[in-house]
Amino acid sequence: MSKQQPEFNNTEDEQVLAHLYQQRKRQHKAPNEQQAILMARLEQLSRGPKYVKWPNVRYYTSIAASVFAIALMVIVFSLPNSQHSVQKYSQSFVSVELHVLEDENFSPRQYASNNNYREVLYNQAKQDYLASQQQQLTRRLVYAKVLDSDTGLALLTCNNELLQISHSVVDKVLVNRNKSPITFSQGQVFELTLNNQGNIIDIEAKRTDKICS
Amino acid sequence: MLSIFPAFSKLQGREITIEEAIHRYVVKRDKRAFDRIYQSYANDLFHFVCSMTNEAMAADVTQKAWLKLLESPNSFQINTNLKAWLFKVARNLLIDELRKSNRLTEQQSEQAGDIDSEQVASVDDQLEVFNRALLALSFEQREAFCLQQDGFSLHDIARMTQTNQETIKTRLRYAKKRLKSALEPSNE
Repeated sequence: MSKQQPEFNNTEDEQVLAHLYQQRKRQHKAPNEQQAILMARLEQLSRGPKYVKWPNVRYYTSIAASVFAIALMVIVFSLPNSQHSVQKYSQSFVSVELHVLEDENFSPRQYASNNNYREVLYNQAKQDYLASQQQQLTRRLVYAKVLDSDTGLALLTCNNELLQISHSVVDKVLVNRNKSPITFSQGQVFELTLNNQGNIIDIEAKRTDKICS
Repeated sequence: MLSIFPAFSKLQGREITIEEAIHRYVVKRDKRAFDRIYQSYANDLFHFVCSMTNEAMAADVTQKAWLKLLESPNSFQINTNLKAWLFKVARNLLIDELRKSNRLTEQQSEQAGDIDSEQVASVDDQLEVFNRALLALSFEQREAFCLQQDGFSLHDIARMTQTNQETIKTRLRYAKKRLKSALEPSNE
């Protein structure tokens, strides 16, 4: 054979090589476990969602808005009343002292001079001020007997009106007055001090139960 | 190789063609279609990779190539050659593996030594001689020869190996020369 570049036009040689190559291929087949692995993976993939959908923004927004509204309502309705107030309070205990001027319409012509007029206005203003201060200082005492103290304090007044006060309000009143905690027992009589706005400002146990006579 | 879906490969009395199977798999992820594809190409693919490296690596590389088809079927363009796609994916994966283990340059620089003619004369098994001669070829020559034997055109081989057809022709020429000379009985 020539040592120059050989020509492979010999189809027999080509056929021999091809034949040997195919024979070799039969000795090296793909492992059986590979097929099983791939089919298992294909099965796994086919079980999953075929398409990945983008989340419905409108749907999730409406859900979020509903949850927020519900949460807001729950928070609003569960907020405790921060005032020291009686849950049920009778109108008969409200005491409002009003200072009404006998004559509100006065004519400047009644006064001889401007000085007199200014003096009248001053006196009027002073009286109004004193009246407002008087209102602030007005207090009312209420006597009531304990009916129940399990879930708050339920009291029956002398006028057979039911008062319900939460334990937290009672505790706050006592703290404000620097008093020790009280143990409530059924039938025990208490004196409640209310300001003109109806807020409890003091509570004190009474030894006698014959207050309402 | 056993088919998991022997009965389902046939549709209305005829076996689906490989082109139909490819289309069905890529579009509908049809399991039977995949089985058909696997049966058609798995052995060729494994043998090609096995000719380029050891069996263990070949199993790993081919499995990864198939998994790529399973998990990203859209990465293959319908109406193109799926076999070429698989071989190219496997080849690239193999090169990555060989680079990781620093064995790529070793493979590429391996030159075929002349098979001792006296040795050949004593070996009766022509296939065994052929196997040894094939593995003694350089990486590029072996690759070109195997791909041609697997039915790829010069154009396909050039694309898959990212080189030109003239280079492929040269590689083929020398590969066949070495194989032929290994198979020839010694002339005394």
